[in-house]
Amino acid sequence: MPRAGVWVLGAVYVIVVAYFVLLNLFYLLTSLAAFAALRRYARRLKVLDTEELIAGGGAPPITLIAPAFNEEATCVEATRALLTLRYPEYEILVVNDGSRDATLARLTEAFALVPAVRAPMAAVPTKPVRAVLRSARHPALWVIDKENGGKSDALNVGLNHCRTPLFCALDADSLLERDALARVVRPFLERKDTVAVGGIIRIVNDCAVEDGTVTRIRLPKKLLARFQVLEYLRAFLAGRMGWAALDATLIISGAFGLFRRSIVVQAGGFATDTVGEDMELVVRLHRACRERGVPYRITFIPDPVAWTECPETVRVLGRQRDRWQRGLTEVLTRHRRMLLRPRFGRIGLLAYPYFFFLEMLGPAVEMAGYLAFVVLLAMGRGSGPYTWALLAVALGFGVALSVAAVALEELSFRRYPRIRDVVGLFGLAVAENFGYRQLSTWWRIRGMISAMRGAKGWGTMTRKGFGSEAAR
Amino acid sequence: MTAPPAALFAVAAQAAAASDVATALSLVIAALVAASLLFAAFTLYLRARSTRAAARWARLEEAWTGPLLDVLAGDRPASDLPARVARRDRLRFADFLVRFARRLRGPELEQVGRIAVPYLQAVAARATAGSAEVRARSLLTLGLLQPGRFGAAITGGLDDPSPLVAMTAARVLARRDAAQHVKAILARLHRFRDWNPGFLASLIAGAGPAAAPPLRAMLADPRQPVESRIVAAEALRQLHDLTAAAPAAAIVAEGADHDLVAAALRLLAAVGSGAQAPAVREACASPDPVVRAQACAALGAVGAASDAALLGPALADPDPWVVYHAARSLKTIGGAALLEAAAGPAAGPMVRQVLAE
Repeated sequence: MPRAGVWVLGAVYVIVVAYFVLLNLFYLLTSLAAFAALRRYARRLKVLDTEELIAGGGAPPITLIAPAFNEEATCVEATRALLTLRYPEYEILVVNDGSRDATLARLTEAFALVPAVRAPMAAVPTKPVRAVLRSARHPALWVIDKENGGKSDALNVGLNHCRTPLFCALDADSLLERDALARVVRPFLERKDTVAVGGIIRIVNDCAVEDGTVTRIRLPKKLLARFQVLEYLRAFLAGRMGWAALDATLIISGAFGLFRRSIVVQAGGFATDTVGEDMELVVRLHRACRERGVPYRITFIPDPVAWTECPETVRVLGRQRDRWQRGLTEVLTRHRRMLLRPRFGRIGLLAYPYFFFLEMLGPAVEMAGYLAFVVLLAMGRGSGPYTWALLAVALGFGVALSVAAVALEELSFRRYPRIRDVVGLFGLAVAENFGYRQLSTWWRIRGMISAMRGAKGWGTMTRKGFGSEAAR
Repeated sequence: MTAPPAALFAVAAQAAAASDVATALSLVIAALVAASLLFAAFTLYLRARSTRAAARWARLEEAWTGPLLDVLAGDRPASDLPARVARRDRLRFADFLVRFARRLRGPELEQVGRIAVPYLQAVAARATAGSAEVRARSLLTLGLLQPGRFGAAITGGLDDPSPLVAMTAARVLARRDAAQHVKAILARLHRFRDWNPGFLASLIAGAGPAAAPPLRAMLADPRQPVESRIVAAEALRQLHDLTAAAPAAAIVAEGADHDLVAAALRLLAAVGSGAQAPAVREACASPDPVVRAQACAALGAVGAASDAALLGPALADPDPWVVYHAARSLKTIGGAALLEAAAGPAAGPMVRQVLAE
């Protein structure tokens, strides 16, 4: 083998092993932190009667902001579900982001929308608002029709028209559990310096939904969706719970997050030039609060649930993952000043380096590892037991961490009542390592490349709707 | 340039060849497989345990619900119940009564409380021992079922080192309309300084009118921490305590802390009268937009039609909240006509919104 080739393979080898060791150390750290935190949290929930906390008064009013773009399949049912939430005082702002389908017509017909006046309370720059409508039947429901400007722009319109101290950013297809608001507001009651809280996102595909409520929970039928259930459990219960326990929450999902209005307005609202607007806002809030020396808290709690429909085809899922990675790359490169800077505390020294080196650059390293493995095999050097053993270790870590995430779910919320679903998740923990994980790595690499090229746009997500035949 | 990676690779290759590395890797693999199996077994164990616990709880509930309803209906003496509760199920029975009691009020709740008495000593023992969650839960049980009998234990919870237990004790005590409990909570308000002031105020206001005198004293006392006085102002607003208007006006006139002044103005908007109008008018010129907005809101309650001269220019304030409250107050003190007149022909969307409200 030429000397240059040895050099390259050597470098790849060192980087891949270092990445692998670091990644798994972080996973181990967050999983252990999540384990302790979830146990404590589950015990604590028995003391805190959410209904009583809310019924006692003092729960701040909340505005739900749901941007909608071409959501004719789900917008009526999702909005209807929002109207049935158990919370003393809340408003709903559905922001129609210049949909080209019948979203506005469906909403107008279903909720008897009529023209109304509602002045903005902030001046975050946005595309023009075309009309403000209010439901004649449900006074708390408003629909703002605006020119198309993207999800962030729609959220900013909602933010400008928000009149409550807290607002909840949602996806138009997010299906909140009835007590989700009452639960997610709790950190704001317990700590006055709380500025943002994220809840858990669960996958609704093939669950039964009646009147906006998930009434029967089961694993999806399609394998691709099943893999995502496991991924979400790992990401939320082991990942975000662990990071929250370490007081280093860097991501709040755009599908369900509660924010303090004033501080988001001060920060300039959602960034419209990135597809990772949810993470970008959280990173910017961290940065702004730390730079100004403002005491603040951003956290995640695992019991408020938003259900969402996940992609079921390789094409749509690939686009989604491409977008996620693109958003991550855009955000982390934009705020790279925070990387390894002690003034940003655990965020700068722990969370940011993890996301920067392991989540953002990780796919490239992982793919390089796979390629090096193939090259070694082709050269007849990769068939040794050592190479296979390394692969087995990687597989073993992946399986152990996924099974641990299932254990965390069982330890805390037990949302999957059928034992065969739980056993099915164990099987998925093994199966995902053969094909799905590599595919996911490829999508993420594509996302990195898209980010470097400066690609824009969200792509489309075809929705079945919550009341679909499959869901019944 | 090539030396370090090549050297690393050489070292790595040597290491790879070493049998102890292979052994170590084998051990790691074995450990990971064992860990996966262990996690899976743990998961299944948890599932089996929770299923068993749920089944047992359902059986117990079924066995206890009928007799308890009979006792409440007067069809069966309460003395029949202890025989149905095994010694090891005493705490479960207390939990069962708590679930039941949450749906009851008045005499029925008191009756359930009396039924619970034989089981509550075991609960009280846990109010000072065990984890913070267990202690807090014990206080909730005692507070719901026998707040009078275990008043000392519950008040003691206010001094528990855990903020969770202390807050639980405060919640339990605030449910009772008794001034001494409010005083006990107010004396320890510093322990709850991290909590949302509005939530704390609601909790204290939940104690009812008995809470007003100590709250007024706290509001009027400049030696008290600003945070505590803000909570007092908000609680008094929720209690609609008319006699709090004078100390609130004094705070506004003094103009010390912006947040406190804003809280006092919110209080005046709810309970103030013309006597406090001069202080409120001065606050309309505050450099702080929150104070200006609250002053405009309060002026709607305590001001007169002549205040249109003050509120009219506020419609051009750069802060939308000031505009909003000024518009609403103009409409309140002089009707839509006064607001329209003050806004002029070029009324902005805020004025149109208030006119449409």
